[in-house]
Amino acid sequence: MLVVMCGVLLAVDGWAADDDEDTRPELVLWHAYRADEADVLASIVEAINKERSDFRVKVLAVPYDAYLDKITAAIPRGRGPDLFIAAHDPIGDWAKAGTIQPIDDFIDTQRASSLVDGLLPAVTFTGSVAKRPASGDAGSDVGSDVGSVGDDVVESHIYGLPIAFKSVALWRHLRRVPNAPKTLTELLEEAKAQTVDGRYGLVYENRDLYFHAPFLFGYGGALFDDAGRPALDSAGTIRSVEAVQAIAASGIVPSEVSGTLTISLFNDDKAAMIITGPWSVGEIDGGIPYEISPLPDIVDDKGVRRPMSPLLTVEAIFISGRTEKRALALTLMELLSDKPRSVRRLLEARQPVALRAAWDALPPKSRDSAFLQGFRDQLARAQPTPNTPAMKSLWGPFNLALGETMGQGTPAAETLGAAQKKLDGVLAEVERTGEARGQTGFAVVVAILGLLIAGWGVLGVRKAGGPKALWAQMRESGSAYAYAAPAMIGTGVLVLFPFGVGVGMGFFRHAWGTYTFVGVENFTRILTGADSTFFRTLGVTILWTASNVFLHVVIGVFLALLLSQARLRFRTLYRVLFIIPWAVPSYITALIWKGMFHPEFGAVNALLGTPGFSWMNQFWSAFTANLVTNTWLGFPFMMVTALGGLTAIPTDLYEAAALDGAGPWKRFTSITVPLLKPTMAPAIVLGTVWTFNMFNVIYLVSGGAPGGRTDILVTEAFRWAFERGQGGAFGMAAAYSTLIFLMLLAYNMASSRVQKSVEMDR
Amino acid sequence: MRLGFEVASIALRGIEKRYDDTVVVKRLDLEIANGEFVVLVGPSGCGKSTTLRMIAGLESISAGDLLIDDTRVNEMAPGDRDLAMVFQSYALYPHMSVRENIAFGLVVRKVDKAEIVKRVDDAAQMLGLTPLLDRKPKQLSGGQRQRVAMARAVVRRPKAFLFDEPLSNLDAKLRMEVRAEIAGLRRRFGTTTVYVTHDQVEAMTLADRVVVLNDGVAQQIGAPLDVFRAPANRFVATFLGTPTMNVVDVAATQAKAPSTALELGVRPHDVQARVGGVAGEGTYLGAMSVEHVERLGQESFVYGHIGVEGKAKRFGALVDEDAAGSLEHGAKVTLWARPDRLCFFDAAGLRLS
Repeated sequence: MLVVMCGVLLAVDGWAADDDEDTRPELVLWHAYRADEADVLASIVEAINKERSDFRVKVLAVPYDAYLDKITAAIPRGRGPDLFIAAHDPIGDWAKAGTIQPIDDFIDTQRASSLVDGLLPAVTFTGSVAKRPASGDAGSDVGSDVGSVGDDVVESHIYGLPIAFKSVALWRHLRRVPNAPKTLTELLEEAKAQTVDGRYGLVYENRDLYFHAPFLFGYGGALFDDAGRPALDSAGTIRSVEAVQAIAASGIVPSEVSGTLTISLFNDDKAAMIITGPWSVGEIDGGIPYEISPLPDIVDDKGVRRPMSPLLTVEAIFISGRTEKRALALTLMELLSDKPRSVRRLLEARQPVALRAAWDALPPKSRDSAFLQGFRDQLARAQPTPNTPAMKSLWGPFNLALGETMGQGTPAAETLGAAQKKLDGVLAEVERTGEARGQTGFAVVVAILGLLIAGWGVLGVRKAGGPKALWAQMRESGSAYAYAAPAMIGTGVLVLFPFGVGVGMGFFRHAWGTYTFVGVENFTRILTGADSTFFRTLGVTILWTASNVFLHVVIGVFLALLLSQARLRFRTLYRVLFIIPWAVPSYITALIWKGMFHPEFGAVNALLGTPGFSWMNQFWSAFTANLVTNTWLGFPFMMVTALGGLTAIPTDLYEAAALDGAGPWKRFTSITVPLLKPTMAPAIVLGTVWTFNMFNVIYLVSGGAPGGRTDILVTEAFRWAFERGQGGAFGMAAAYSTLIFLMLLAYNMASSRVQKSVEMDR
Repeated sequence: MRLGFEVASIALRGIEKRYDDTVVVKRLDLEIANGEFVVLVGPSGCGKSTTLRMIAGLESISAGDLLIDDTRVNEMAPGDRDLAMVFQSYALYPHMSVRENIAFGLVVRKVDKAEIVKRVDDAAQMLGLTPLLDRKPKQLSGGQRQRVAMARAVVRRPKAFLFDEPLSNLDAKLRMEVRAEIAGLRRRFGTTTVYVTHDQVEAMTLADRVVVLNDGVAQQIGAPLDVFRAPANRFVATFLGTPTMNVVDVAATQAKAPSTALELGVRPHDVQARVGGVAGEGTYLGAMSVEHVERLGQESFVYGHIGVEGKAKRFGALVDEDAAGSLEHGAKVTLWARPDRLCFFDAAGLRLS
């Protein structure tokens, strides 16, 4: 499925052409802005298009969630934009893959000094980068890049022009906390005083490294050691996690906070202070008096004072490594970042812009000015998010460690040590050069696949009685083939072809746009690798599927029995009510249930009388939360199916059984159950397949918590594709998907055999 | 031979069935003696099946008392009444083999296993089902299914058999065979039986007593021939018998009738049609012009209309086989009836005796 989606995404890129009579060369600009920022950018570009005669700009707003993947996937294939606006942190990956190109020549001293201090380091990358032509034909289709990974060189370049910066800062509700705290101690005292009447002193996402970073740096921790290697278990880092653990334990910070919860608590005056970034401004209630100030300093046990530095994200314009219009792209870059346009972005989009001169345009004493100035002040104390490729792999292990310490109270030293080990493993994998198995292995796989298909074809022809008979038969039913053709072509293009590509991808290793043929290595690694969680995950998946389908069927059949009672009043109403869970999109239901399982604000704890119980901290409770959610989603289907099956059972059978002396239970077991079986069997097979691959609930409700232990195979495949670095371990994800497919295929074949024997009874 | 069967008496005393305002069965009184075979007969919707289902316990009883062996059982669960029912659809359990179907009632009642085997084998043998015991119902013909349904009833050795139109899904030839089989079973076991049908032939051939029902009211209860010969009213008279009894205005005939009689009824079998002015025997009813001749092989009937223009009623009579051949449309016949078979109905449709 994932593979299919990727394929569709890539195909859509091909339609970027436009039938305009305009003869000016076209520059394509991508961004992921929303709301004000997008509007202002669009209006700026419109003006540019009107005044320029040498080029025109075509803007494409890409949804944020798909943005980075799309850039990573499209540009190396020559289908991407000429320029794009993005946060700076993936530039290491992009530089390696040749997705972006250096613009050192463009950033001269004068331009460098025109920017707010502290931004350029973020867009500078030092490391080994792929040697690629600045432009040229897309040569990275599957299999054609064998062996090209070895030619890297270590260089240092500036890759993008900063146009804005973002980081978190401290938002204070002015009536609650009128004065900005100078130290963390002061801040916590304020917070403690404010933690009354269901209000929390401080609200932030304390299980996320991005929000934890100020504490980490404030306690002298670091993400990388002096040699540039990731180091998650340094003394300062451990101290910082212990500190936030203590803060959480003191009850001034609620647990399991999401971005949405942060905002809604602040809006409800249930949070005296929050830590978030400028992007939240649109969601804050206009009536809430608040002020932005930099996060304070931390004075540690030894009396060393350090600022709580948040991670800085620099938004920059990048030039595609594949563009053929570099000069024009630089011109556009300059236009977009000049003073008048920077001022517009600053004032109209409330964007903390990079051009220093633009800040002079801020009107004094306005609320917006104070807002923006707050973030500018914070910038002076921020640290750029490291842009080395390793950073991408660091979030996952770190957040797991944070979650485990905050959730289960495991000592920070232990969880961070484990995180470091995990990270080392991931990085070793990432850095491993793809050992090409050469063309021979590739040829063998293709030959085997080809033989299988050919053999299947020969068998088919034989079954039809030889080629002549088959041809005659095909001619005889020519119109039938004609009618079936559109569906067959559709299935071929939309299902079979992507399926083939997906299976094939399982034999490759993907890193930064390059596919290397590795034979069955992905499969052996999944099935026999020492670090593989495959069998554990498979166990969870089977448990998950079995318990879900059991509950769906039991509840569904029970309700169907109730609803099929002729004497029940308002039957139709109940039927509609019970089908509603099915009619609501599953991700919405999943999000609602996730909210209901929240330790402090969730309805479940309120009803059970277990306030504060964290469902996501232990395997069994997290699994139960997932199970409850999916049962809610799954029983209506079984109920509807069972209702249909029940109406098909003749009433006189029940009457005959009653006269034979069978009581209600005996009638249920000897009449209802066996006669419902033929109806329920296909539904159970379907339900099993759906549940086996129920991505939404796992991903949205528990998110694999705690520590990926409630993940099922399909979420695991997703994590390989999109959350494990190396620009997407698509090979591993595809291998997982292929294994899932094989298991479901086997299950299906076995169950259809059982089903046939069941149907014999009818 | 009684084969250890119990028999029971069943009494319906003022039994009623109502759905909201609709009365389906109205104040029905019926005493069924030990070992008696009673047939409930009537057109569709007359309440006969509902009555049977009330006896079985599948329908609640709105009013009145139902007694089995003098015990009131209105509220007793169907399974506890110890009755066996054969359904029109046979209601065989489709997922069970013939053997399991027959044994089900015994298994549920936790009869000893060896005893079950013996009883099932006996019942199967009696009904010629032995080679079919391991088949599923869908592999059987209609007649075979019917026999399985009967075996299922017999094997339980219930206090009474209830049959709900058991033959209506069979073709004519099979119907006759099974009818004979039911009569045979009945002779063999002497079990009390209540049998519902709309087919008067079944009613006439099987019953010790018939109950003719119409609109939820028992029109007449009696031995088949008595009811046939001396119908209580116009409805019973015309419902039973093929071809249907002729009912014409008394005034349209030459027959001598009681003063309160409005209509005269006589079965076609009891009227002779004479051709060419030849006098017949019995009561002269009048003349009729032939519209239609039915030659059935062993006997022939002529049909025409009797009565004044506009109010004429259809009338049929037996005709001599030789005469039937030469009868043409429009030919005149004279009608002669057996005097002892004439029925007279008053304005309310009741027969005057």
